[in-house]
Amino acid sequence: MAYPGFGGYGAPMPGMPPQGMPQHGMPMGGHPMGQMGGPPQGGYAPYGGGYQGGTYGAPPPATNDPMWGYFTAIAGQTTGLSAQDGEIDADELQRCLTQSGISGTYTPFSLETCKIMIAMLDRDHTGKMGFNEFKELFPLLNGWKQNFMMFDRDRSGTVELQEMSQAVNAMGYRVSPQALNIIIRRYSKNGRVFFDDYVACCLKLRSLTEVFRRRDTMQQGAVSFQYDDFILCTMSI
Amino acid sequence: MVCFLSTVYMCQQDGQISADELQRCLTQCGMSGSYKPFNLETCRLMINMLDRDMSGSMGFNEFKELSGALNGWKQNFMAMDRDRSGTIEAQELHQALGTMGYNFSNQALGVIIRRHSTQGRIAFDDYVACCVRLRSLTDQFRRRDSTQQGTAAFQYDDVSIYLYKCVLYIPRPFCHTRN
Repeated sequence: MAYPGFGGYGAPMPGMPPQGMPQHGMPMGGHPMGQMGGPPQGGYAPYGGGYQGGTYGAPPPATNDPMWGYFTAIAGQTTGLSAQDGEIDADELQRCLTQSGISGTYTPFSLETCKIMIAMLDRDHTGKMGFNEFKELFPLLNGWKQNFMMFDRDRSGTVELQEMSQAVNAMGYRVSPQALNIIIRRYSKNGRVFFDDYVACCLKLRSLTEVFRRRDTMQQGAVSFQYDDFILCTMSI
Repeated sequence: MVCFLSTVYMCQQDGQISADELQRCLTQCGMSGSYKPFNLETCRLMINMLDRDMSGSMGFNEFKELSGALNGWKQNFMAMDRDRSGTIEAQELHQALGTMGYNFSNQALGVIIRRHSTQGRIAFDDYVACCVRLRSLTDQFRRRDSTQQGTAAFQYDDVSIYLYKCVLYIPRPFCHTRN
């Protein structure tokens, strides 16, 4: 089928959970799960939970859910609404994620990366992120962090040329050393790729693939875009 | 001129200029004027925009083109930023896009404005990022619009090359996806 190379986002690494799988194997917000784990079947890669459509109508989060705690700490303060109705902007998301310690020993996410996170999950086009979208984000970030950590063998917090080569190959692409050099230079700071930039790349690829998938209703591997729609899709990322 | 020469020097070293090298060069040139220097992501976008032949390098002529575009955008922005706050409003961005010849639906405009604004206002760096993205994306679209009717077909491989161009950037000759 027509979608080679994108399976890496769904395919489990040896010993690693598939990306998008919730940490504790529980369904996200009660929505049906996509195909979980297993090798990609061609076609669009299984993204695991949380990518199956809207997050509306989800049951309220459990009060002992730690993610709820991070969210309410920020959302409740600034919106004045109940945290469940509240939404957070990029600046607030950055604070939430920093507090949650999800980056581990890596540098916290930049504001630009947080904007991309919101754009990726902002299906209702509010420009902000609600709690269910926030919950959807966490397993994705964890999955990408696990992958990054696998390649950051020297624990420098960055990925070098040879480590990036392995990471890209693991995503299903065969890339020449010259091309890799170009990627590294494009996304590096002083020749190394930081976790934040790596996540930004993963987010964008995922968003754009999802956009394409949604419009490829015939699953033909081709989409015909009108210009305005094309801009609408791509400028949000 | 000093800025041009130092960029040419950087380019000649290995035929490529990286985003952080561009960032340093533009900062040294004082291209942002009294506005905050460009962030790294915006510099990446600029390199992607100019690398039409997907060679992975930005040469001197391309850099001249970029400088011309940046100066134009800066003049536009300064004309709108009358109170010198360093930011413009959503409505002003909307007008600026119209002046540039873009004619988007309200939905597309909403998406563009939200993505590039912080608390309802747009800083110079975000304005440039917006202009660069629009130019780059429109260029990509036009190349696939063979009849120039406003419709373009994207194959998945095209999309993956396009994604790479805007995200990871892998020039076509170097990228082979597995079947």
